[in-house]
Amino acid sequence: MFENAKEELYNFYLHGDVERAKAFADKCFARMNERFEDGMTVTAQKLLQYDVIVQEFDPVIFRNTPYFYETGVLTSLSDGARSAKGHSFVQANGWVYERNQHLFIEQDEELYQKRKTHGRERLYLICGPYNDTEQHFNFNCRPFLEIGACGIYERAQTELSHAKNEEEKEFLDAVCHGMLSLRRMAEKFAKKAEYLLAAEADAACKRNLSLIANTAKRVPWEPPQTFYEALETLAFLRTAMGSLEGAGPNTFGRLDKDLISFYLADIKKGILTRERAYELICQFLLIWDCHYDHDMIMEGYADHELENTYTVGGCDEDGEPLCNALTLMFLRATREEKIIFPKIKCRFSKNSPKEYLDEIDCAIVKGTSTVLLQNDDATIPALLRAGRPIKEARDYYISGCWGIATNQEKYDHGSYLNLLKPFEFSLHNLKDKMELVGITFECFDGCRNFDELYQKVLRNCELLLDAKLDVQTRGGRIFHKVDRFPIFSSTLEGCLEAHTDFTMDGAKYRDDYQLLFGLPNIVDSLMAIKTLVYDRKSYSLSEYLRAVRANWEGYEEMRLEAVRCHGWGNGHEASCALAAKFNDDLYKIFASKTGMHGGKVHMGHLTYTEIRWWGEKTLATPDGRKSGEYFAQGLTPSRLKRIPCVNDVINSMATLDPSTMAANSVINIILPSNIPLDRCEGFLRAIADTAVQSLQLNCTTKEELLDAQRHPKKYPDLIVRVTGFSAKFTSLSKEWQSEVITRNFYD
Amino acid sequence: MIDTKAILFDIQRNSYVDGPGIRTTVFFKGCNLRCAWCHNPESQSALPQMMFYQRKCTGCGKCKEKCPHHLERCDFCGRCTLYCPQEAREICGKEYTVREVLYEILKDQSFYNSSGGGVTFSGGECMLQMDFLTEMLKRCKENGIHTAVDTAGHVPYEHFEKIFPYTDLFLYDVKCFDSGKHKQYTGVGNKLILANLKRLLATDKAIWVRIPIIPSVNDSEEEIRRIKCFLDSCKPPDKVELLPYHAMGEHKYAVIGKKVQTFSVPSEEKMKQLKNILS
Repeated sequence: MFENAKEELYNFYLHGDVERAKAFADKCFARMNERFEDGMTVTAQKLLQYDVIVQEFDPVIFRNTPYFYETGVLTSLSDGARSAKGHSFVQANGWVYERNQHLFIEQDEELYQKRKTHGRERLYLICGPYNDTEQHFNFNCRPFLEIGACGIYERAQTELSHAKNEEEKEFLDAVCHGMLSLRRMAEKFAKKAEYLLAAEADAACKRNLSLIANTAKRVPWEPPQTFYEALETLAFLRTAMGSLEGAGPNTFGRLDKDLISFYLADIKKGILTRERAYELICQFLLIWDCHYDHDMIMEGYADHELENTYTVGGCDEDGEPLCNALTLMFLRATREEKIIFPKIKCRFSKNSPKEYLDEIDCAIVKGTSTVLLQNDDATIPALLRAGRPIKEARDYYISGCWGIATNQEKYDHGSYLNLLKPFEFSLHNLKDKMELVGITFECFDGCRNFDELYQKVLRNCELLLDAKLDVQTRGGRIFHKVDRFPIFSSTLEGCLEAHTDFTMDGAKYRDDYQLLFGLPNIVDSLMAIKTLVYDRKSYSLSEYLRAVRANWEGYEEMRLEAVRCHGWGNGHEASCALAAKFNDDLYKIFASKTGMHGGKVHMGHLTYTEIRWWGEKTLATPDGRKSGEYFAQGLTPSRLKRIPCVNDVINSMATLDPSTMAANSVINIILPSNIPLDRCEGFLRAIADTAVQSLQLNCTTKEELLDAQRHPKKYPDLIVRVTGFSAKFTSLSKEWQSEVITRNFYD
Repeated sequence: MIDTKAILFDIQRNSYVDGPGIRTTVFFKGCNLRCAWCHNPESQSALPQMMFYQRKCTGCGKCKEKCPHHLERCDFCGRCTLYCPQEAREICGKEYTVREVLYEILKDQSFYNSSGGGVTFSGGECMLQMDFLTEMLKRCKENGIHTAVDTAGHVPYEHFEKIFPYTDLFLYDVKCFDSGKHKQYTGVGNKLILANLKRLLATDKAIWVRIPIIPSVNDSEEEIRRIKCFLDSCKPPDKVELLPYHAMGEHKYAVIGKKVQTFSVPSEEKMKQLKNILS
């Protein structure tokens, strides 16, 4: 279906997008530089950026879809971030940031150097100089659906009379300016559609162009009145905001919850059928999915990524399971059209309706795993403990790859803390590295008992966290001097009321989220040392460390013993108890800290593609892992552990306290292909009772993946969850295929 | 008694082919049939066996080095399996107490509850170790777990009566209707099996009859019609399942040093045709 639309979209997105975006950026940069005046505030600079882009862009309209949204400002793979992914130029939407980013360096060159060194040594990763400045923007679409840009404009106007100073006034004026910019952009689409309509002969295309011409005159300035207009509003805002703000809006929010009233009203009025609604949903999803060539080989860091997501299912504010007609239609459309982007996140719980779980499972068991499952029963308690009121907690959604988000904050994830690095530095006694990064981690040599060693591991984790928070707090506070985001801020709860941008702490919450890397391998390493050195006394600590430092060369027997020790995920009481203690102790440390914006510091367990990159650059570990081997993702058991039954993994997860992980945690599980839906349903309900939060579930076998490697043409539609995103297995590089193939498979 | 023992060859968790929902299947070692197509040939002997996977072995000699008897004889101490880097050696069959098996079963209670599953006792023939089986069933029921017994039925009927109070479901195999052919392919006739089934069906117990379909043995329409005719003369079972032969167990014969008899796998069309007879 939708072949004409796909052809038209692919023609545009897969050809010449980079040259187009680069030429546009060059033109806009020249105009903006011409009009720049000394003494302009950052906000004034941003408004200049809005004006030039609105003035210069030429709307792109696709005759075969009913949606208008494409500005032609960004490359196809851009999610709104200013950097052109995979290319060295900055897009037009990054002019302000580009102009001022030197401030990050000049405020404290030594600090900047330190942060770079920490990054190079892989102590942590931040998507930006000190904080994430261009991605993971948690765009709240609801105000546009409820009151339209004009409603936001009016709210800002009302607040203007209460502004306490020029700065507040400037922010509110900028919000108004931003809303008018969006209106002007849409009007340009209306004119272009009218122009194209005059020459259009095809009846279906005429209908689309006519719809666009009429709708773009009103939306998004006025709130949408129909189901189509609501989808159109979301499509337009995503691209328009990305084009103007230089920020990647990472989510459409909860589409089934937010759009159901439009759908039901249209059905009641007789202006929409179920079939037409399904068609509109498919077309809405396809316009994003066609940004991308799914057969392109994935080699690098994030080249298979389009940060475009939405959430379905879960519960309403009263805790009642949410599964409406749209929930099922979005899932069906994803399955039938094999949509990979936007990424679909499915909230579930032990109370989820069977038809909802079956619809999710239907795609997964057939080997098209495009879904991230998110367990409400382990997520909502974490949000409550983080201080969110119950209704807010129940209304969470997933932003980006797997960030738990609500509408009250920017969502500053994308910041990974590598707990394995201090572990490696101490274990291998890398004094020169410690000197280089300026942190003296405590070495393990000579520890007389396990507790002493454990306390050192914990202390080293705290030293790393302190170092990161110190660098971020001292360096990141000047973000507001580099860039401002009036349109984006106006959508977050709190900014309009506080009369200030989110970069000035305007949003309701300003917490920090630290995503941890390494718990499974550290727990396994500690279990191996405890068992072989302190309990069984098979080896002295120095003998054991010598073997690890030798990358296990000449110590294969000892390595096998280490691998055979109980470890995280095998369900054994001792390893579960150690993991739970380690997690709780980490939580206590994180809970005692203050974030860079004065808020709380939350933790979770997950990383992105670092399971490969950091694994390749980390020396041997005491769990039997050799230098360079991949690490485990989030809370997934190490790939060294042969755990025959998946239930042991799930039972292990039941021993962790989910409320400690407000930043979310993830686990990978691979079950066999074509397992019965009933089993899948039972499995998910059993999981709901544990600390599993994000679940990346694939249904395939090692044999099938190996065969797909050898005969890719036989498996054109085999889609796997990789790490925060899905991709065709045959489009992964050999290394990435190997990462998936070396995971644990369960019967 | 909680310390009653039996020899088992596997405890398979997260199983979904032996009864409803997610189950733990406990495989008893020892069988009084010798089905030519048996996909678990290691289940037939009641004693532990050393399984050796030739294709995994690299000839490193670690097993011989670590074995107290240098592989000249085996007392199933397991040292060779522990030290083989390729995991080419495995002991099949181990003595378990009721307590140990119950501990394994209870691990997955949340999975049974969430899926309508439970525990299935299978084999081999689980009804050859009755004391253990009865105690296991009793303990499972005490813990609120759904129980199923998978049997070939070649045991005295009193055995069934003994476990009635603690068994929710019987999975009952019918392999061939003709007793002579049954004896040819399984080593025993089927008179007792069919008589037990008839009596069992007359009770109020849930029963799933399972018929393995083995090409050239029992895959004729006539064979299935005769079984259907027999079942029609009884109180109907809750379910009749046709299980197509699969070759996944063939490699195990070499592993335990036995000669394998091969069969073809029935086509989907054939299975559909036979299922239609039963419907």
